[in-house]
Amino acid sequence: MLIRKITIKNFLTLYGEQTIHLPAAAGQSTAVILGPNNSGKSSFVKALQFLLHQRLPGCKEETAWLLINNRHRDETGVKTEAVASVTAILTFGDSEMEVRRSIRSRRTGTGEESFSDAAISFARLQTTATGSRFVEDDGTVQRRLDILCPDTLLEAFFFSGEPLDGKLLRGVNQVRESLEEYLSIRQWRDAAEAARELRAVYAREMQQLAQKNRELDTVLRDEAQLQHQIDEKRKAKVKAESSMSEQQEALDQRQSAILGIANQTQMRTDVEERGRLELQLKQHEQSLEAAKGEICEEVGRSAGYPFLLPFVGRARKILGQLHKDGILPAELAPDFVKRVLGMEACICGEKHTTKTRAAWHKYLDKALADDVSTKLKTLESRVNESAPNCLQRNVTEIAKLLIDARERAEAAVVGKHMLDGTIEAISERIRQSPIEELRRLEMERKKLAATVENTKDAITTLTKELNNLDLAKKRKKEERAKMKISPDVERRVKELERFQTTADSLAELIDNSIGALRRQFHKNLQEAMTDMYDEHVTDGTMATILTTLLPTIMQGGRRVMNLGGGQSQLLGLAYITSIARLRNALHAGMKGLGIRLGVVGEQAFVLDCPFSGMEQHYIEAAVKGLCSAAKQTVFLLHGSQWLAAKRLLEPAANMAWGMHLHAPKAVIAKLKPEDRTYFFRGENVILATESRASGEAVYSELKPLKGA
Amino acid sequence: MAAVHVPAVLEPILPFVRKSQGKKPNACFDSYAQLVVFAAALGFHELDGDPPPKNPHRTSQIEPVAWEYLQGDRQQTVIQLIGLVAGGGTEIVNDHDSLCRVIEDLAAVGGKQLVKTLKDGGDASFHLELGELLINAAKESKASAVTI
Repeated sequence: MLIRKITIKNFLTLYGEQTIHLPAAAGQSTAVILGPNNSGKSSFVKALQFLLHQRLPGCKEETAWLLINNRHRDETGVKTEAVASVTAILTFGDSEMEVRRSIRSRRTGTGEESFSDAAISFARLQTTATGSRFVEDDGTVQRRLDILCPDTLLEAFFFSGEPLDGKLLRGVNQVRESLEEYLSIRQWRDAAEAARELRAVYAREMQQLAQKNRELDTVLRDEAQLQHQIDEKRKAKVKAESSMSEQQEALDQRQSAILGIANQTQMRTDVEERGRLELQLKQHEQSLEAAKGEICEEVGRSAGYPFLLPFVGRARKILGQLHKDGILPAELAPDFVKRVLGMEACICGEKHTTKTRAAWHKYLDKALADDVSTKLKTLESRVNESAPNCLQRNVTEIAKLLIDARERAEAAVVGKHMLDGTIEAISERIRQSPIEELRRLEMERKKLAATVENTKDAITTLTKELNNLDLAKKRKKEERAKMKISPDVERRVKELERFQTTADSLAELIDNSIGALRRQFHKNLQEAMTDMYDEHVTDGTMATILTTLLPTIMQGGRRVMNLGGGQSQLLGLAYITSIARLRNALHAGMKGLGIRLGVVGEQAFVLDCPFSGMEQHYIEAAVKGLCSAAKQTVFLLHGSQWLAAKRLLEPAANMAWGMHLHAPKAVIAKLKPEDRTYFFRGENVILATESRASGEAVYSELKPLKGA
Repeated sequence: MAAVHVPAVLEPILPFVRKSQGKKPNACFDSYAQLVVFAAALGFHELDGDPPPKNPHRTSQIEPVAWEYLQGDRQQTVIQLIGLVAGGGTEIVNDHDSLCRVIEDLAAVGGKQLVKTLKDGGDASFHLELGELLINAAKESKASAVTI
């Protein structure tokens, strides 16, 4: 939406009827309006806001008379009306319309505040064969303006000087909602929903037809069920694709930030040192664990050997006695003795006598079982100090191993403790450094990469499921085609089916297109921001669009957390011109898809002192960017901003106007020289004049500058 | 079949057997057999070779340890030595059942010492405390033929 002509009559500080024509033709894009402080530049912006959305603080009917110019109010006689209005010719592509918003208030007395409640009206110029006249708007024009320039973005397009943080960037949700509105995405959704509803209507009619034929009824019900499932899966897929797009973007951001930080080697030494120490710490921990494990193992394996040492002597003595008693070594097993006693003859061949039997019985009493004998022999070797595997040696080995493991464990604990302190100190240093940020980003990147992969898998699964459902639906249709139904019903069913298919395709097309356009929107926005910001700023910073669609600035791969006034302002300017430029491209895309939302055309920007708080190089970047990116930009500048932007803006301006301030001597005296006299294309222009009569109200007039 | 019944007093120590449910990370004993023999050796040391009091309390948490599970070289050395010294001859070692009773009675005595050690030092350092007990026993004994 461009502004070809604007007429402001008795509005705020602008006295009388002020008309200016703005550059809206091909090859023309820039206008400057110069004027001292308090000359009415802000009134100009407010006039536009009032015209488009009646959006001014004092715009209630009971106080709206305050918007009428003071001087005009003073001149209004009792019982006559004071009138203020803003009229503009707005163009959208090839079409245009003229609209006017007026305030009328009757003077009821002689005092300053003797004005009645104002009447505010909004009208559109209608041309008929008999002539042209303004006709009260029935809401149609206002709705169109709301779409062309949403209320929430109004301050972005027609704004007054302060940084944009508090306006455009004030809230992620608000910006996103505004943009969705601006791009008409909500209307798309409505269209998709309407298409689905239409299909449901057709489905219901088919159902009614089918009631006469039970078989058909079943098939149709199955088809409806399948269709419902397809709809659900399709929605889920669109959602997953949109979500993946955002995840991928977040992933790219992390990747880019990581690359930026990775090049900063300041803390690399610390990280390497910490890595080395952590390795040592790990070795200590492993050593400690190993030592503890060895102790555990040895304790169990020891069988309590060391506890037996005091009894080794006694065991040896007992074993010695057993030898003396002939019990050891046990040469004959008790079973053998029993067998000998059971026989008639002794082993010598002679018959058993009482004496031999007594001797064998005595032996049997002391004889050891086979296994006991073997075990005692083993025990003998264990208690024999000179034997290589004796218990004493074993105990010594056990004790040495335990002592060694204990010492290693103690050393590891001491080493670990010392390293813990050093590592903590280095970690603290690293925490203060970008490397820690790098680590955090890397972790986030890994998580996001996993999420993206999962979402990809989910999309693949959904696609497969959708294909299967489509196939199932196709089979049902084939089944239905084979049924015998009356020709009338068959004809109507086919007709309804065709309608359904059309509605279904439209819904699908819109679902897919919203997702695709959202992704395209982000991509294009980034490209436009790069053109507008990166190309014109020389401080090494770069503009980046976040997943939330908010712009931010990156420096050396890191996000700049505290934007300077200049950066913020330039970023905002770049952003709003980018989205406006992009909108046309998107709407062209919609048109290509067969969705018509009306012509939107280019977007005008009216910027009141936009260079507040900006350094010279940012100002020049903003001027270059705006003049090349925007189709129509109106700069309203006071003296010092004009001086700062003059070098680039003077040759670029296609039209130039001066806002001539008439004020008492005291007011004029306070103005700086550069705010009174402007130098434009070789001419000195004085834009501040003392009032002729004392007590005359302050007012301004717009006049074209010589040389423009 | 002869078997050693695990004394009830050893119940707090059972988690230090690796095959037990809810075993501790610093479990030292491969089997209940290993634990019982260790406790018996400790008990024998505590009593300085005197006969142990009869232990009527046996745990119902685990099955008795069958004689065949006590056949490890070191385990048998400990069991035979205890049986020989406690009986003053072959009377006990020649009878597996008697030998099992002596072992479980001694394990009950050693078990009390183990539980005290556990209570004093806590779960986490129990293995270290047992290591200390073994080292001290090895150092104290004059019978040790090899200097540590």
